[in-house]
Amino acid sequence: MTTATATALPADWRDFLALTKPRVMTLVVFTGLCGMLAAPVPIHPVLGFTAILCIALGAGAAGALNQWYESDIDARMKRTAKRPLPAGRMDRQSALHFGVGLSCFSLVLMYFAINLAATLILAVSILFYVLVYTVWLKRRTPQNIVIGGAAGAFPPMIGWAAATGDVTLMPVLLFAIIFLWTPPHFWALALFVKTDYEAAGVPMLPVVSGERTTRIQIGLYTIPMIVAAALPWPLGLAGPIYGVVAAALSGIFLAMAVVVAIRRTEPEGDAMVPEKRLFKYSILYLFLVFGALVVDRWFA
Amino acid sequence: MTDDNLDLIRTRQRSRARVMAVLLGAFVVLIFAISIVKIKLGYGG
Repeated sequence: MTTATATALPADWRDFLALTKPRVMTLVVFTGLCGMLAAPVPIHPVLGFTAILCIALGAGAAGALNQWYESDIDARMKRTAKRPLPAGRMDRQSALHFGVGLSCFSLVLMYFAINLAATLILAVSILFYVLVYTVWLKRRTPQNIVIGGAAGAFPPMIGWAAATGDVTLMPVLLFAIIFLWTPPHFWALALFVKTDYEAAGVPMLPVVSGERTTRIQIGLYTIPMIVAAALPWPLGLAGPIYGVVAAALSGIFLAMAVVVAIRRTEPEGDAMVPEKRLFKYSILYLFLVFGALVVDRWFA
Repeated sequence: MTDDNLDLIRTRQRSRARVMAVLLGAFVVLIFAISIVKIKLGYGG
């Protein structure tokens, strides 16, 4: 089937679902939920569910708009070539309408069902991901994911604001953990898909500054991330359950990041095992650190 | 347009319509639940 024939057909609903990047959404929803559950004010389950739904829809909308704008890049990368737009299963206009419609829907629902603070932060996170990261930074600078990482750091703040109606030091710390976690997480990925980014012309750090610099930066960014993850306990914002779990998990993260930082890429046929391991562990790390925060809040 | 393509278009339209119906139904239930909760919590005005 040619692309022209394929795009003349109405897209399947599964393709609209794929536009929302469901796998990325799981982490967004989880951290948003943890931010909400860690808040000192309980929220009614129905309203809590609605707030999490809005976060998920907002994240999905941002993902759809990202795929709408980046379909040319996605087509050149093996990892993303099968997405609905580059594969020709959907036309760009449908993706744009879907993304804009879903954004508006999530914001209106958040405002009427929850509160203004959560709505404003959700709006900022969608705009930041689409305009600042996707449109402005991604194709221009290797610092794209450093600054753009802020977009993915908002969900716990939104969850907290949904429950309390305001933002205090704790949600700012949760934001900081994800913000500082993003560079080592993405650069570990960028090291083993470097050729993909090169082919697509995306100036990721390994492409622009080389693998040596990237490895050092992974090690350097891990240190403030660990500090941010540790702070809630000494500041009295979380208890010892969180403190001990976060310290242990951060120690493992640091050890793995150091291995990646001091390693040299083999000239040929490097399987990038430590880098892949760090990437996978970084996802688990975020789940467990935020999970520990909720356990600490509810069961300590 | 071939018969095969017409069939595919109709199949997709039907499945999209079904998904849309389910989502709209869920939305109505959600709005109803939110309204009840807000009234209970005293946001009823």
